[in-house]
Amino acid sequence: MLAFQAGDARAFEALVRRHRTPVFNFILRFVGQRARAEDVLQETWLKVVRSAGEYQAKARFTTWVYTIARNLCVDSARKESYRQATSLESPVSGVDGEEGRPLSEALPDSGASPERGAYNARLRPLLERALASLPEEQREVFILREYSGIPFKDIADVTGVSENTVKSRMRYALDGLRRRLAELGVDGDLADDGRTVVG
Amino acid sequence: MKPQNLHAHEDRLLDFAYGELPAPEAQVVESHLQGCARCTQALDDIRGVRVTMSQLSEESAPDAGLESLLAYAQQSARRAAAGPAPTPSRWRRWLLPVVGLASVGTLGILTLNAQSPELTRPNLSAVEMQSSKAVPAPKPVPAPSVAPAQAVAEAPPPPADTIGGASDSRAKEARKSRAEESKRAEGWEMAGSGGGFGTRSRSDELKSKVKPSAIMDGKQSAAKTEPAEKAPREVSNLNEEALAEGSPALSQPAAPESPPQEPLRLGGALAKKESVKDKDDAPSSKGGTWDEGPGAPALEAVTEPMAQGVVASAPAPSGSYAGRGGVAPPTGGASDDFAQASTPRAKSTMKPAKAPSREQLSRPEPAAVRRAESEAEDRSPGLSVAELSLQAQAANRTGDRDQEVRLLRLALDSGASSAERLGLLTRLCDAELALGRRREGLAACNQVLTEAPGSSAAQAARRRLSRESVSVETPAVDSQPAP
Repeated sequence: MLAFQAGDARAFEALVRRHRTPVFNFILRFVGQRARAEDVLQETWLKVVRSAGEYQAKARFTTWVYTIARNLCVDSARKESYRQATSLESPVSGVDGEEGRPLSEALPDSGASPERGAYNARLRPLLERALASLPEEQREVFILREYSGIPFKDIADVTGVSENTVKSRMRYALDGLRRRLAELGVDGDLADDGRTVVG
Repeated sequence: MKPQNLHAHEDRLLDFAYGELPAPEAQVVESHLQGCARCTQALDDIRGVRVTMSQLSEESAPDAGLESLLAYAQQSARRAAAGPAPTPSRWRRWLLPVVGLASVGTLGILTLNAQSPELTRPNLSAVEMQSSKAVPAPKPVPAPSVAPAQAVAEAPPPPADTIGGASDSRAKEARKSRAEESKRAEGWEMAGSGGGFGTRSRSDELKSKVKPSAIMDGKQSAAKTEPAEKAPREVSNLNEEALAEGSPALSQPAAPESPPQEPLRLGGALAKKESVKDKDDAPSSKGGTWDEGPGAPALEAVTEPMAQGVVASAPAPSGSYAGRGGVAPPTGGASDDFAQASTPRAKSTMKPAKAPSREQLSRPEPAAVRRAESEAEDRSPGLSVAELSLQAQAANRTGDRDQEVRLLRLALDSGASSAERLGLLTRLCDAELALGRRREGLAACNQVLTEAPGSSAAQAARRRLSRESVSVETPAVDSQPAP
């Protein structure tokens, strides 16, 4: 990042290629919609370019870029809540009072490969539903720690709360996921072939 | 274990599960886990959730927008490499706001000035000033004031002789046209530069006074009074003020008889005859105020007797006249100029009126003239020689030779200097001769010759005497000598 600040465009390209996918997955799991996630991702990197002059070497670039991405996700979630559009994660009302399937299950996943189609068709939506069921502050902590590999201390910097708060949220997130996965029939035991056993 | 300790233990389990504990602490936790089933269960729960959720596959980031992002970053890097943009110097930073403020301020001031009533108001004040100055200033004769006069002068009422023989329908037409003209004149007057209301009220009062005579004369008098009372109010404004203020003593007794005023008397031919005819009715209009006395010239023509009566009956405010005397010269000039200005137009229509006016001159109303003389004498002692001389000059301009003679004699009696005496005597000689009083005229000229035989005034007196001696040989029709 310091090289990019000095005018090295290739340094920025290296940063993008290294952090682009983790940041995108964080955004995607935060907002829950691919289209919105793509928009937020582009916006995040544009902001990185525009704010390159404000970057200070005392902070890690990862922390800095996730901070930007997380703030944009929060803004996007607020806008989305104002629009009151039907979320992909919101359950569709089912027949006979049963809770319907999330909208994301009804829509085809254009990014899924044929090999993983069956797997995703069985497990992925359950995991996404379990993750989406978490409160936002727990979800972001879990995503940042579990998928992005950000230490609790840095998560505290990204989210602007104390490390203890982060760990507390993490504990609540783990407990919530465990209960939700149990509700969804995902017991956590993995088959030998790598597939989950859905009860 | 206390809850705080429990949480601390769980936090340590979290750190241990995610590999964030340092190696020594991790060994401590591992040793603790071997003997603590609850912590082992908690750690298993954490690991179970992590294992399950780790099955959520990672999505690849889209390539859309990557190239544009990199291009944007490249451009930004070039700018960063070029260094920060040079900041404008301090005076340049302040230049734009200061110039903007100055221009806005200038615009505001200009706008305020443009909106101020002095600029947006039509130049009525100037017109008003002109009209107010028209009394002392001779030259600016307001165009509107001439307009109605012209309108009436161009359509004069038919002479009395012809009216007498004319049919009723013609008289009606004439009345109708005059009524229309007067309406137009009123409209113009009200839209004009003020003074119309006062004039109208004055003329209304005069109208009410003229009415008896109008009723007496029937259609003819109606045809005569209407233009007189309505038409040239602005003209009347000018002249009545000029006459009233400038030379009140002159205008009062001699106003009906002054030939130079004739051009101002619109419809004068008819008016003059009518005035002669109505002289006996004059007392009926007594009781008017002094302000009404001078009146409009046209009104004067029609209501001469009335004016005389008014003048004669009105108490003369001598003090005020003495004060007004100083304004006389410009006023006289104004009336003179105005008479000259209106003379060419009026001459064509006024010619028939001249003969009767001459007759009128030769037969002044004795009682009225006497009263006016006494008033003039009462007023004149307060005036200086120069003022009397100027008033006499004004009387000369208005054609009132009688008044001129009286004023010149008063000036001579007021202790004029030798140079002034010569001039006054010369003018007295002229005035007396003009009035046909040959004896008095010759006496004045001889006086000049006696007092300063070698002067230019004496030469002029000699020439005048020689002319008179020639004219004496031819039979002259002199009027009655002055008493």
